[in-house]
Amino acid sequence: MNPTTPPPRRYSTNPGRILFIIALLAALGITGILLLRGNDITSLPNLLTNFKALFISIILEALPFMLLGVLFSSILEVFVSEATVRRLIPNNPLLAVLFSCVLGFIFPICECGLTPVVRRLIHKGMPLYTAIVFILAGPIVNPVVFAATYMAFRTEPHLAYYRLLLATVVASAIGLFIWRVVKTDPLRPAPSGVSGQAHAGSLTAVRKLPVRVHSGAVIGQTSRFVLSRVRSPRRSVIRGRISSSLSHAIEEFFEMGKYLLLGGAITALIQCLLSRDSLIALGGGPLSSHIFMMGMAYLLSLCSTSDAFVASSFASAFPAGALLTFMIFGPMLDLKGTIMLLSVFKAKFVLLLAVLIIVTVFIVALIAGQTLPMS
Amino acid sequence: MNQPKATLFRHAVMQTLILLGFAIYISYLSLSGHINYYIAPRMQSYVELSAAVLFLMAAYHGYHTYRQLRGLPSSAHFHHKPPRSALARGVLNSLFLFPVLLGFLVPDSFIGSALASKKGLSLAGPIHTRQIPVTLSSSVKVSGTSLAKLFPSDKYTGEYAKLGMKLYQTDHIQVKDHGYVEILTALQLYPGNFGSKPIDISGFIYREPSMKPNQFVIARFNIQCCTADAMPLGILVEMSGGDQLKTDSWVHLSGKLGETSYEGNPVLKLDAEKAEPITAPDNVYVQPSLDFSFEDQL
Repeated sequence: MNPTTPPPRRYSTNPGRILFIIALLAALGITGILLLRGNDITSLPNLLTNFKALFISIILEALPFMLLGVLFSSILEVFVSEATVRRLIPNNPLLAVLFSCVLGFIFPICECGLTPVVRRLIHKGMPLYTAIVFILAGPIVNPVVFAATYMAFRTEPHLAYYRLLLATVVASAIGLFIWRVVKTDPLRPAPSGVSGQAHAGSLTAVRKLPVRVHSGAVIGQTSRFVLSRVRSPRRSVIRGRISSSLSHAIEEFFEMGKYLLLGGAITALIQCLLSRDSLIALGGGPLSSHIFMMGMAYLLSLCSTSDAFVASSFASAFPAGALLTFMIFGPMLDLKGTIMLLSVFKAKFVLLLAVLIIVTVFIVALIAGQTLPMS
Repeated sequence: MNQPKATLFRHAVMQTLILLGFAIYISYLSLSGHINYYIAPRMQSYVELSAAVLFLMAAYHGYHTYRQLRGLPSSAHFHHKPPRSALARGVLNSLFLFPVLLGFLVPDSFIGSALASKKGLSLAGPIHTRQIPVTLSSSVKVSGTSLAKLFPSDKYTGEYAKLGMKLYQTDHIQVKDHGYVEILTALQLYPGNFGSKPIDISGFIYREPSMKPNQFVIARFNIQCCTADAMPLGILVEMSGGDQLKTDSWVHLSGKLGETSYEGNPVLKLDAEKAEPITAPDNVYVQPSLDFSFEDQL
């Protein structure tokens, strides 16, 4: 609603992103046709009811976590300064990576809620590689997921420990790789509502243009700027900040929501059409079982708090190593999550991240399967 | 950027309605009890809490949209620029309206046999425990009695073996919602041990193409959080006249347990003597009772 600033046009016409989405849709379309061939076309009304049962369920399940994520992210935006964020993160990259691995204990939430928080933290000056470690490890290395995994594998509790350990290893390796290699800014241009824009105050609040430093950190003097504008007693300042948080939360709800809805819809459709038995036949061998489990985790897009129970249902068909692959890979990379990552990063970077995750999880799970005692 | 004010406000009003729509739909699900079709009981309060947050957000957004529309001072500043083209705005709003409209226009229903066949229902053996070759020597350690020999176990199946022994000693197995997952797992782990033991169980009817006309499965879905992680489990039933029972209808079965072979595997079976049609229970899915606390009620 500000008439003075030119529109951030390029982020709606980024050719890379459009290409990526077209490729994704094409791949899904082809998969869809292949899947539909095995389905009875006359059962379409049935398909609609099943789709609804799954889609609504996935959205409702993700909603509390996403709301928590956007509220927390908005509180971060308004109440926590960039300086605080940067002071908290160790300078030593190794320490910073380990620090990010255990952030999940402070903020135990699955990937739907984590995406807005991480996006905010990056814009607040959190280095990219630590943010990536947090987004990869956070949904696994946290007490809620550990407890769920422990219960799902109550007869094999060591798998719960391995899951945490291996997730830490994978996330750290990818984090350090990104620290060394990625020097360009992989962020999508700051969408509305993210740092660098003034809020609160009047409708025609002056906008600060974002100042980009280091790998994509954006410094906007938002919080302090708001304070200086509101010339009223302390209570009113806090009221202004709460109001500002709510505005942010609403914007972010719509910003993230569209990715969640898209991801949820595709996931629900695939679950309606895909027959698990026909897939299990594909994943017989020792190597193929890992690849199969990654594919399965990707397509199912389960929440990390419940995926351990699904993994345990595969226990009779797959070796423990492949189950670990499922439980480490899924929370780091799945269909719903990929689409949500596109809200934060450029498509090229999401692709790089996907390749890194696939390769690292595969290697780590294989080595672990050979070296760790599995029973 | 100079979008007409009317467009901006129309978009803001739309967003308010979307927030309100989500909140009302969740409230409706909660009041009608249909929330059970979508979300496991332990997660329901979180979803209901989100409805409260969405109401708050809708009220806040609506109030400030109204104030700004009237030119009144407003502490809110919405940066969110709607997409520039009317088409893109339409697509974006439709994406958000889609679940709400789907929610209200398509009747709420729980998942049944169609998804059970997609997710795959295992009749042969336990789904929750890894099948590890059990040697009798390990069972001797449990207690050394003949009962323990019937229920050999290792450290992975110990809990189920204990439950199996308990079930073996009861005169009549009543399978309720609470403990459904564990009891079925224990029974299926030792399919040969429960010859002609009377049992009562409820569930929906599921069929596979390879079943005989008198065969079907009595099944329930086990869900942890949402239907995306639902896993079907059930017992193979043989019943004369069983072909009269419609797939997906809910029944309460009384009969005796036994063993048969299905697709080359020994599986637990239920010879049903009586089938009583029932309505689907309010809590339509079952959840695992991880603490085995139902055991006291056996």
